Amino acid sequence: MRRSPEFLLALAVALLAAWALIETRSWSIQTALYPRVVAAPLLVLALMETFLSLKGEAPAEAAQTMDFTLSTSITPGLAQRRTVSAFAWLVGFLAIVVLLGFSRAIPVFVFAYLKGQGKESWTVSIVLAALAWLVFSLLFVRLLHLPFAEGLLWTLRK
Amino acid sequence: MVRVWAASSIIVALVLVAFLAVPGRSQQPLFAGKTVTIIVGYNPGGGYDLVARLVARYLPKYLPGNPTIVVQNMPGANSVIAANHVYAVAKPDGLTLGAFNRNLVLGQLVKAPGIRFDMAKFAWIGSPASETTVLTIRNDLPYRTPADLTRADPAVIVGATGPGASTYDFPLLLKALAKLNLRIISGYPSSADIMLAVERKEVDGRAGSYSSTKPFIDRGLVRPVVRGRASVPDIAQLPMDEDLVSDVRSKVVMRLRSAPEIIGRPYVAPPGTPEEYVRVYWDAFTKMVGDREFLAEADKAGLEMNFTRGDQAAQITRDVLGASPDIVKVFSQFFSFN
Amino acid sequence: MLQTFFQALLEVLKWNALSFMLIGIVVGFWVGLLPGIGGATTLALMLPFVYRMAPVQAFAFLLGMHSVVATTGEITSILFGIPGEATTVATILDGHAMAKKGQAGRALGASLTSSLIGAIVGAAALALAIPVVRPLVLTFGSPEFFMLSIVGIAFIASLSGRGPRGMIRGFLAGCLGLLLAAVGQDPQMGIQRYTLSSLYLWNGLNLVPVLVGFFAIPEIIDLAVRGTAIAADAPMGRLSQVREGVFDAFRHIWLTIRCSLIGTYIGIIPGVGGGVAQWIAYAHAVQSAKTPAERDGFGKGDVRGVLGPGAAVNSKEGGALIPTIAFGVPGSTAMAILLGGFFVVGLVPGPDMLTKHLDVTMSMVWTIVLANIITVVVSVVFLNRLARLTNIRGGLLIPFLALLTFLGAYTSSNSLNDIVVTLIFGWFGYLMVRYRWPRAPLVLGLVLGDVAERYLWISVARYGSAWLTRPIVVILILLIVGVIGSSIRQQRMLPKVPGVARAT
Repeated sequence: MRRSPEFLLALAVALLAAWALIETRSWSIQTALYPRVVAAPLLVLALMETFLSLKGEAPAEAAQTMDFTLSTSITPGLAQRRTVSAFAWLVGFLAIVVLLGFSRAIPVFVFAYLKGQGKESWTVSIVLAALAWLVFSLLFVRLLHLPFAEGLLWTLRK
Repeated sequence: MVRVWAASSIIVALVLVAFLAVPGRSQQPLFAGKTVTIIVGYNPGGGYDLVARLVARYLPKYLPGNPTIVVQNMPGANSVIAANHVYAVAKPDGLTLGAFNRNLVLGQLVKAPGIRFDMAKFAWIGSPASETTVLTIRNDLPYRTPADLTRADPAVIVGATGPGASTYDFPLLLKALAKLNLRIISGYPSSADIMLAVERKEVDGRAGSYSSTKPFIDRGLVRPVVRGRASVPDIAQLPMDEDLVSDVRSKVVMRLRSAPEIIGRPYVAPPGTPEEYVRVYWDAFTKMVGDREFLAEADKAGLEMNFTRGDQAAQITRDVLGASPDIVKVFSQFFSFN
Repeated sequence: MLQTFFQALLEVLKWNALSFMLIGIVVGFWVGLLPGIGGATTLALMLPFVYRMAPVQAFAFLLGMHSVVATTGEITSILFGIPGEATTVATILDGHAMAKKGQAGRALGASLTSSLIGAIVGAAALALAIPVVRPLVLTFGSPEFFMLSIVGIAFIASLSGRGPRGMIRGFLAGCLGLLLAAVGQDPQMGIQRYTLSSLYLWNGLNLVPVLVGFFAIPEIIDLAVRGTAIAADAPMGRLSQVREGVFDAFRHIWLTIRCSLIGTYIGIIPGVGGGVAQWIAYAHAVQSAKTPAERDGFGKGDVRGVLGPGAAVNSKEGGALIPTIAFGVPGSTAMAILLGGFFVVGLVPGPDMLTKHLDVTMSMVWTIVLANIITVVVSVVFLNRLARLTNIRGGLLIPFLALLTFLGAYTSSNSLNDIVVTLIFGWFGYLMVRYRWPRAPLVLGLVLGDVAERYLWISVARYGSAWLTRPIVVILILLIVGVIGSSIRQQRMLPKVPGVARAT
């Protein structure tokens, strides 16, 4: 019996379904009916999936989905590292946005990614960062007047 | 060649930065060169947003210095999020206004969770429009008066969106307190869907704002039977809900529900906004509501213009919040804030 | 009536109406392109400017803008896998897969052309349906709305996975989506469900950030992992032409027309129509595959997977106009705003629009058709160049894609919380792709869950248990059983697929 990632995912969903059902305990029938009707089959299906994933998956029966599949052209180790790093960049972007506010975060992120991750030249990085900031300012701030918070570092200073 | 290109792009960049970064210079007229922001607690397209954009176009010329007014949407939790923001986060510099759900004061009254403001402490600007609630019944049914409805058999089916909306609360009070024989079927995604249900005879009627029901009344699909306290000339002669009950407590409960409707489109400024600004806004709003073009457009959009000035609105709010605890208890049985 | 038909065309072609339509098209073009700034938002923003115009002009502008938005929304879906609009998600599945094979141009051409055909068919259906519109709409009641949403989900769930395991996962995803839709206040009593004491979740999960994260982020991650351009799998690095996509639409003309009709008639159903139409059209396209091997090709770059949703997305707008005009009941959010436009110019939607004001109705029909034709013609001109974006190094594109994703998520309700949601669903979407769980049923469950619950309750409250015996409901139940049954049967007869590598 292998504890494969599929097993963990299915188990997690099953636990979620169970939690959802438990939460409905204290609700009236009007509030609880729909979640129960949906979470119960979810729990059953998730448990089935958990059980099946323990048996492993023979290549011949591999479930194909009507969805895109991740490319397999890179070795698994490298792929894993790049995946983690990509997620890290995205979370980092959010952090920068929270700290600096969208307006300042955008050129910082674009520059940092191009120079740091993409290893592009200085000119390309600066120009593209400036371009991104420009389009953002003109379109989202000037034209559409959308509200963008200033960033924690600024509001905390006050 | 590269040098020329680089130099000119640096110059262009500097010019753009200068252009974008120049702050407004403050001069004598209060709002000269400034931008006023109206924060609306709903997404574009709804009634509150529509009024805000109308205000944004007509108010500037009545404000000294003719500022630009910009509308920003901050939807979520039925405008509780926007109200929390304007209460605690927005600067009280006179350049920010909030436009929220009129029922927030009732939400505060029944201590709905998540509310971090006190409606009475806002700097009240006022409300350019009121909101009138009517109960309408499909025209081909034989009931014409509330008395008919108390005797109706089988029960008249009223479609509603959900608790907290006038589509639900109004008929609920009528049923529970005035003993009209109504059966409320709730859950319709929007009032428009209820009207469709009326057409296909799935439900027999709908309560809701007069302005949104008017097209259907004019078309002859439904006829109004009862109205709430806030009124407009068209339906002034309809029986009022409070008149259908005899005991004082029921009357007060109904009045509580109706109170926010007079302040149909509340506009407030953050607590602590200088008195000077507030009075300028009072003045500007009063003039704006008399502007002929403004009224023409408002009419086209089906809005009932009825200005309630800030001080009156604040008083109404304080009255609501000052309701006695046992009234609040009865009221909470019927009203849940959503 | 025929006379009014042509007179209306002349009205629309008059310069001042036409110029407004052109402005509307330009605005709509960019709005559809940028994720997060929905067509509905912009319709609302433009409404104040409409106050001064005469009816024909006003609608030329509003409709011109609106007709174009769905079409261009498919451009970012195809090129980058970022949904430009909530309604263009289905296009991502095959459209972006085609872009990765170097066929972005072809996909763009196919989607544009099918959108055009969809718009024309939708407009024609609108015009032809005028006599029967009222009885048609009135036959569908709350029980039927509920059944339709279940049909949609069951349809997709049973088709989206291959093999018995795939079907389990499909329904799993569907149920999960339906459960996620329960987050927020329940429609009957207003009690908070699963909101984890957060004000943000009060109204439930916001659809746009979820969709943007769910679909765009796995693509971005994959791009980062591959380290190549999007069109890396193009044979010898040559990109296909837009022309080819246009021809594809005509090569599969009957499929395109059928999907247009699906879009139109589902679009008529208020509420349910909007999100479902593209998926049902997609499912229908999948079903048109003649062999199991062909079916497997869907999701991996079959042009029919682009034609189906492309046609439905536009035709459903024509369908959504029907309840809006004939009843004053909007068939979609954008229609709700358009409705505001009606009142602004002093028109009362209702039976009058089909009799006294038939000319305005007809000019709306023509506007939709013309706006789409113009958009397609103009786009074709520079779409080939747009397709070249797929040849750019991934490393250069990624920060901009991330930017688009974040802005798209943020601008839907101006809240940073939305970006957090995007990241969470991005991560979850990635896991689902990696472990071969189909995403389409989850999306559909999430979109339809709220409506399904509401109409379920209304049906039960209003009709007791009698709603189950209504004729259309019975037909729909049999339809679901049939669809699931035939899917199971098809799966049983599938040959074992040899040597398919497992995703690691």
